[in-house]
Amino acid sequence: MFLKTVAFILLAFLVQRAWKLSLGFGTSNVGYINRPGPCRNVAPIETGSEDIAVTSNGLAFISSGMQLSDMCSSAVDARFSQFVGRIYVFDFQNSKQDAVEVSLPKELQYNFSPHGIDLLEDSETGEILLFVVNHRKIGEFVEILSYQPESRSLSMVRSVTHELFTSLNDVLAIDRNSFLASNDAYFRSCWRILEPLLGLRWCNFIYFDGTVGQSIIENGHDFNSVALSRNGKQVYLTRPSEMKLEIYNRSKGTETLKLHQSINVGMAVDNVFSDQSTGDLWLGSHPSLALLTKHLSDIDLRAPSQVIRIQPLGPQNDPFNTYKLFSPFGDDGELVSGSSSAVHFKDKLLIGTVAHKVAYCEVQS
Amino acid sequence: MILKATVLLIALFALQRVWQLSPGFGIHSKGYIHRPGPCRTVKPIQTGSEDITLTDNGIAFISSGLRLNLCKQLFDKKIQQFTGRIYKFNFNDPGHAAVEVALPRELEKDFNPHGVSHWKDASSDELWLFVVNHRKDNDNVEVMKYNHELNSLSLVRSVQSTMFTSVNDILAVGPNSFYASNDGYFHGCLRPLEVVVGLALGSVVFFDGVTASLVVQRQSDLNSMALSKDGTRLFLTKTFEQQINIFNISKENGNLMFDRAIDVGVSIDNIYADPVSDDLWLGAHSSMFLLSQHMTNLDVKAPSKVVRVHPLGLETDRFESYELHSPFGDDGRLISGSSSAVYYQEKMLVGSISDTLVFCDIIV
Repeated sequence: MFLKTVAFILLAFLVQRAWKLSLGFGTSNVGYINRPGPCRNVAPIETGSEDIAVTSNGLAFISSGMQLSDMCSSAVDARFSQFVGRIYVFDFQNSKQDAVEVSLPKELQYNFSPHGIDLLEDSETGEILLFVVNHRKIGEFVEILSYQPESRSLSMVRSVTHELFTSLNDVLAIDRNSFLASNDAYFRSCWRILEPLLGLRWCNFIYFDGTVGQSIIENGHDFNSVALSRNGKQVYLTRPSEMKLEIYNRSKGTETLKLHQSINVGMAVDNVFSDQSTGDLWLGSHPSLALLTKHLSDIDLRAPSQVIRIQPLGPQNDPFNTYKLFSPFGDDGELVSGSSSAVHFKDKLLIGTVAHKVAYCEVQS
Repeated sequence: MILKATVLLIALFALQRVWQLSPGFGIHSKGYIHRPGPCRTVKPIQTGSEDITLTDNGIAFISSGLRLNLCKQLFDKKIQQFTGRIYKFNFNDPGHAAVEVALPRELEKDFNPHGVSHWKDASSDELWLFVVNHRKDNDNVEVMKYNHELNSLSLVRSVQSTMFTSVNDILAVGPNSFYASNDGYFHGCLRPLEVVVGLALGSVVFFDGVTASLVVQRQSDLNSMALSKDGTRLFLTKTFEQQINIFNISKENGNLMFDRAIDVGVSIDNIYADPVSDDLWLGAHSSMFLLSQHMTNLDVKAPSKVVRVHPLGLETDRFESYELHSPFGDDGRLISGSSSAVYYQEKMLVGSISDTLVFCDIIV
């Protein structure tokens, strides 16, 4: 009797987990091809362009070559261990030029597996500071780097690590010394698979004020990418397997976040970009997490890609109170597989991927 | 013991049906907006444009005002007030509104049009329109001759058959011959049950001008048909299964031999085969769940989608490999419940079951 009850409860739990996971998993989801205009790959990027940050005059910094092998190497393609971590720069205003590799500070040269990226522009000096999540061999770091445009190089300003950094995904720069960072899991090893399977809520969202790090959101599940609204009053956070974009109201200074709204985007969303000129949110998305998983275990297998734009239609103090969902770009994986990010600059789009190429599109429709 | 076993069997069956129906049902599917260029609704159509047939010189005939005769209680009462019409739209003069075509007198008070097709005589330029008409008593296929100068249709013949159980679409293959697809058997409120349980009561009928014969039998979920460029293959859509079935046509007797199935990944409705490129254009429903809500209350928007299947295979097996494109998507505000799409010289027309008609310039 007792055994039957346990078996029944276990079965019911598994069915519920399967149901919840299947929505985002998208086993039957096709990657339809659609373009906003002419699109092409940007040379020479072929080993990923997971996240992209853009300056106000169209200089895009792309993190490339993330070696997923530190995260359960048996589940991912062996070729990931050969990837070389790099930062590329692409100029939207000189879009015919290839992306150019930026030289790294000496400390990072063989020690670089970059993930989320953000930047700060000093309006007076013009200095560009890059904040990069780095999965170093010894642990999770946020590298704060200064860009030297003449030499196209990055110099190390500061390297931050903390015991709360368990599996960093993205970073949001607040000022020269402080930032917000998201953990997408607790485990960095193969145990991490248990977290979504069992619905464990072991992710948190961290505020580092320059000296001290603290969790500002705890007991979370599936935190991914983070961005800031135009007026700095809202923080956007993506939740891929739940296909959601969450909007938090932010108290500047204390950096307390309060959940305000949750938008169901209808697809597994990855990185979010907040367009400072329009207030639109641009999301790199995965029509099928099932096919993405297969692509990561064998890079030659294509994973469909999609870009989603959320256009706010609400008032100034609650912009996403009403909104429209657009999908200006879709691909079956041939042009770009596993789109994880999309940034927009003056009617042009740059689309980054977890382990594949980059696409550049003119937006005509 | 038997009771327990029966309950378990029914539960398993229900679970299996839910599993099979749910991808097509799309409870969580969103209607993302995307356009191939500037798009607008075509006046004066507001009560449906379920199917469209396109001549080789860019004239589109559109069936409008469909009143689905399947469990009327489920549908918005406004649909019963719709007037069945045929409209004409000229791709060569897209700035103009769609123009109503005069119906034959015999049909003026008994016209409930669904699928449409046409046949053009290559030498004389005579044009016949074939329309599925859900008359008060049964489904007829009306074969009509189009008069260009008068913009009117005259009835050539009204075809009835006991094999027409619930006709959805029509495919003309000669001035007198056609294929008709039956999407099920029951009318009235047994139809939802037929769909939920998955009864295989659909079929395809071939009418050679004299006799009707069943060329596809015991199928469920059949919807629309189109002909390949070279006339040797027939494409048949299956909505919930999200598939196009390709058949080879037997020249002697019109029989159909199943060749292959293509998974399209979305609930597809009507199909149009582009005679220039071989591409297949489909009106599709991103969410059958929202579509059913829209049909119950027309004010509820149902997301729309157009899919283009572009063949990459050789002449002998064109759809051995293919690309799936989606040139148009809408959240339902411009057009709800897109059921058909046709393409002509970088322009597109999108039809809907009970809503507007949309015209797009394709610039991408």
